[in-house]
Amino acid sequence: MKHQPYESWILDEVPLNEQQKQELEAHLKTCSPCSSLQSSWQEARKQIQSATVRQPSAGFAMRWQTGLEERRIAEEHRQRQNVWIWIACVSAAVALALAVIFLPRISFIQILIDMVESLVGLTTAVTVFLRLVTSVFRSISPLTLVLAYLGLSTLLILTVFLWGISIWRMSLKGVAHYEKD
Amino acid sequence: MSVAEREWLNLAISGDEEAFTRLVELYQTPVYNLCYRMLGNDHSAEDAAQETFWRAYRNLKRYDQQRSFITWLLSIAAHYCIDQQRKKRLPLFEMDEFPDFDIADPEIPNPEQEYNQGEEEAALHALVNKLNPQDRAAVILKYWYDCSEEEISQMLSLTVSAVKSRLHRARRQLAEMVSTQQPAAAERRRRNETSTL
Ligand SMILES: [Zn+2]
Repeated sequence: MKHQPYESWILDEVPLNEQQKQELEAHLKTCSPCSSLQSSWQEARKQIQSATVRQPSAGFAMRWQTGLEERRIAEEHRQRQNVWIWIACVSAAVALALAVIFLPRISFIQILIDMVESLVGLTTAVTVFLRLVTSVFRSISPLTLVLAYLGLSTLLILTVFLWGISIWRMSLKGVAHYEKD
Repeated sequence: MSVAEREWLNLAISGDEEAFTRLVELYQTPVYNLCYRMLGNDHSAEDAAQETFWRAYRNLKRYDQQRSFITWLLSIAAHYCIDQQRKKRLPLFEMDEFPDFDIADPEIPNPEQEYNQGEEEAALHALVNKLNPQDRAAVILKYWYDCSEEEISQMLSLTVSAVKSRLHRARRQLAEMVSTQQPAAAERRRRNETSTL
């Protein structure tokens, strides 16, 4: 069944002439979707229009006045903050402009080259140092090396042993203390 | 607008705070009611109404005196409430594509509040809350404030034909909701009638 223009007549609330009213009436008698649309919309409209006006709780204007003061302070604070941000931005821009004008030889690529050069220098220094250490070791006699190794490892084992004992004693003390409580 | 109101307005525009407070007193109810119908609870309505007056106060110099002052206030309130509602929703979905997606305000209905408002009021909230914010604003301005479609179009910054199509869609949606709700509503009315007997 064709529901137009009846649906629009029902929903758009345009004023209808006599003939249109009769046409709608006739259609509603034979078409249940349109007739239920009509009654449902009328019901919804009634519900909406029967609602009362909601009032704010007493003292709304007073709350407005108190709020106004707070909002104004917050606004001033925000404005001051904005001024500082603005000043910072302008200073940064000026500094950048000055750098561009007065330091024309400094380029990003130059900085990169300098960085690579210093890295290479550092690597060379480390290599030289390692070479020096190896040559020193090579010049020492094997007996001295073995003695030095034994002495160093004994010292290391002793240190670890003492450290282990002190940890063990501390943990024992902790448990005893806890049990006393 | 009465002569006194016009005078307060002029004083307020020239920076008189007292005069503006008079205007707040005068227009608090229509502004608050619009916010309440848009947002569905008193707490949010109070905040929105206060924010509306603050925005009006700050932009008073931009107010076009040819327009009605209350229309201007309601327009600020409607825009603010629409924004608030949009912020609450998932930004991924455009409501127009999901007309059945339930966007009922999670802050309501609080059972106690609902009881105080009465069941009819709660049912009305449930009904209007399902409309998307702009459609809801159009319906509220049309049926609670008797605004014409031209006025609504100005207030919501829409074209008249957009207002018409929004109202058409909203009415259909409301009718559909009422028809699914009707058995419950009929039962409620029956109970009300028997309790008043
Ligand atoms: Zn039909």
